[in-house]
Amino acid sequence: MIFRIILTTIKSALLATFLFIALFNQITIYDIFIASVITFVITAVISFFMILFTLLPFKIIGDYFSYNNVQIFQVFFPYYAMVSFAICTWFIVISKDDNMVKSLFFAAFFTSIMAWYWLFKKTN
Amino acid sequence: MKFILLIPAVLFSTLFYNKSLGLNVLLFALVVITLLFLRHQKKSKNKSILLKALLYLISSVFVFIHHNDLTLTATVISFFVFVGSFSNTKSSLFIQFLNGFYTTITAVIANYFERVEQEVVLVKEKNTNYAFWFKTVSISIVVLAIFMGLYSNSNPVFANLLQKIDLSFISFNWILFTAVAYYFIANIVLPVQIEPLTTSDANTTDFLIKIDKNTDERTLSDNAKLGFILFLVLNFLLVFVLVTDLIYLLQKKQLSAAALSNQLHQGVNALIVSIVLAIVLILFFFKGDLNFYKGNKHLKKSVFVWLVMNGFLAVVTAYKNYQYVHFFGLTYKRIGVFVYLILAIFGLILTFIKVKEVKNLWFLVRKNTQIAFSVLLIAAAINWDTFITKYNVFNAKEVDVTYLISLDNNKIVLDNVKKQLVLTPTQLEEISTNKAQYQSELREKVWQEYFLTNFINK
Repeated sequence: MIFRIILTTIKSALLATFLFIALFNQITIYDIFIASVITFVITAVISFFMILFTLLPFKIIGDYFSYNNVQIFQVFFPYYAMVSFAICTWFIVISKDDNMVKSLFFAAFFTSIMAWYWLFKKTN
Repeated sequence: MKFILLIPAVLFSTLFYNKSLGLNVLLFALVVITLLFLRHQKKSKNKSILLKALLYLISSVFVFIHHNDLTLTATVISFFVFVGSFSNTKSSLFIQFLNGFYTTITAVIANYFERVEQEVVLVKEKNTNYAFWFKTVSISIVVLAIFMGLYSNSNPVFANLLQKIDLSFISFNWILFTAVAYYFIANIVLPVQIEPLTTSDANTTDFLIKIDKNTDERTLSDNAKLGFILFLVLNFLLVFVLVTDLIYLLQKKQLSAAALSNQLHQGVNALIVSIVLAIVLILFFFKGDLNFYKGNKHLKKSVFVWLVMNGFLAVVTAYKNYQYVHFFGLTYKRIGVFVYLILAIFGLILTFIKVKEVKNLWFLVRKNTQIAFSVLLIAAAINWDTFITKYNVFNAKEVDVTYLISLDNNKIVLDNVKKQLVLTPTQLEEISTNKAQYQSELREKVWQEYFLTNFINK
């Protein structure tokens, strides 16, 4: 499980970095390497804690009820995805067209749902 | 199918990329309805789905006629309900909404897990030869470009035609936007449902089922007596409140705005507490065996009286709100009070039916959400800014001009009726400037952003 968490963190950080840099679209080609590295480090830390505090509890609860990964996904993922979408959309709406906030929460939503996919995909 | 979905994705980008809302919402509704009907031809004959499609189309027409937050909310909700109705046609409205929401945001991922659960081998995906398709599309584009170059050199008419094709709108951001649109469209054609919620909802009827818990006859009798006495006392109290309220209302005196506002807010607050308390108490007493106990007639009668009197309290509050509106005109908050009162009255009627016909809590949730959705759609049909302006100018005793100027969708109407108002030079100028600015904004709109006004003013 620890290996899977680390792998999911790296994948999530890569996806978040790509989405954020692509959507923010205000970084010149000369700065893109440094910006990507900084974004990757920050998103890796955020992703790790996101997995630890928002995904792992579902795994623990699922294990308690003897659910397999697919069952955990089916029971909890819909509500997680909807809440995540609602929170991110709310921040995007109140940001009043701030490109940075829009890019950040857009990336956050997609990363959060892809993290579920990577963490719970067919292991059984 | 995957490649075909690129067409609605590109259409979505054409309609919405860097555009404000207007005609594009209606056109997109037509695209979504056509796409889902083509994709699920058998389901599309279902009456429930046809109704949801119609409601979605109507609400998007409202956005085209008078775009505001209410019409947009109604359209988004009816879109989710329509998409969710493909997940399970027999589900309750709010479950369809949740399924639609879930489908729209993550169906592609959820489908993957559903297939794993059903142990379907993902042969189809493995058989998709991406290298072949990439090669075919790339070669076709290159060959097409070479021949187009050749033909345009030999044919000036063809060359002229080619020059008119403007692809400057394609940018990196546009491609990203289209990719996101593709993701959402790929989601909505693959309806998924939230389990076990959807199955549980489909299997739950509106009626309470008697569970033989062998509850002691004496316990039931005691509970019935306790409930009867409690509701009797509450009924007396409510009668007292209503009589004093009526005496106060019948004293014909001109009240100040502050006094009217104060008594209205107190009335609404009392009504909210009273109705919530009534429903909680009723649900508590009628949650189980007491529904089937033969000696519950007195309790039921006292509950019905309590519900009727709460309805009467709602009518009195509506009258207070009417008085407020009559003197000081309509505002969104005052309309909100009327909407709340309508919903409260429906809620009381449904609670009455629940007790009388031994229905369950699920029945209350189902019917209340249906009524709330209907009220939302009806409210979205009205251009409230124009309605408020016309009502206040022609009916209210005192008109708050600053409030009318602050509204969005009334610029032309307010300018037309300004002669009926007593205005300061600043307000007159503001009204004229707002109208000119609104008309200028209308003229600057591209076809995707058009409102009905754009066509009428031409």
